[in-house]
Amino acid sequence: MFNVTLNSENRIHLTGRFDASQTDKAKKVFDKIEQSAVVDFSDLDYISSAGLGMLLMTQKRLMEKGHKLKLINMNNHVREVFKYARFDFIFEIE
Amino acid sequence: MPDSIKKFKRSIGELKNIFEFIDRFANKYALQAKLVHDVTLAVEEIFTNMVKYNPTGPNEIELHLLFAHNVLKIKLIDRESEPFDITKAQVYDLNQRVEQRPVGKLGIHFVKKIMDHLEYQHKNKRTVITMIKNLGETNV
Repeated sequence: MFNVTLNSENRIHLTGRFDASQTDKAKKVFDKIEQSAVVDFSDLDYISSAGLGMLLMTQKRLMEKGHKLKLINMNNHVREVFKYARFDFIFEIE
Repeated sequence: MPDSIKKFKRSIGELKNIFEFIDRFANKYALQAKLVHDVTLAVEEIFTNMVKYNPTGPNEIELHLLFAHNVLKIKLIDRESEPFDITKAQVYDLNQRVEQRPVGKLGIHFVKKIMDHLEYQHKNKRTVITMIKNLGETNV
């Protein structure tokens, strides 16, 4: 079960498995972000290239306006996927 | 003979059922979480490619899982498909600046990174992708 929420402090919380079947659901939330935001991965178990694509698309859009995403609390499996893609050079990961 | 074979509808919505199938297989052999994660990722990337690039294919997509002698063999079969050799797909350029990075195309890069062997066959309109992972003692 995947879930994505955006709170009033511009913080996105991801839960469950972010696979290719969840991109429409995620896009509805990520498209609402207009300035720098924090994405909390603490309850995310899994991410595939589809999820990374959504994050990259959002990062590109924000960077055009001088903003960016900060990614926090990744588990080791998810962090490794970011390393496979060398996305750890594209995003600030804490 | 493979340990486990199952056919899945040609739909991204089938991923949930594919993950359950892999989890059951992993439980049977008590495979480590890291290995299960990587197998799940590789299968998702190949399956979604097959759905994306052959959306009107008339047949279901077969997933075979075999574990023997510390070797994990994964096979995905798409009948009635056009040839596309993923082993010869353009290499994803990891050194591109963020502005130049394509939003897609990472899936095959992941599979090559994760698996020890990736093989493509296409004969009589039948695509077979075989992935092999050699396991050390620490994986089981």
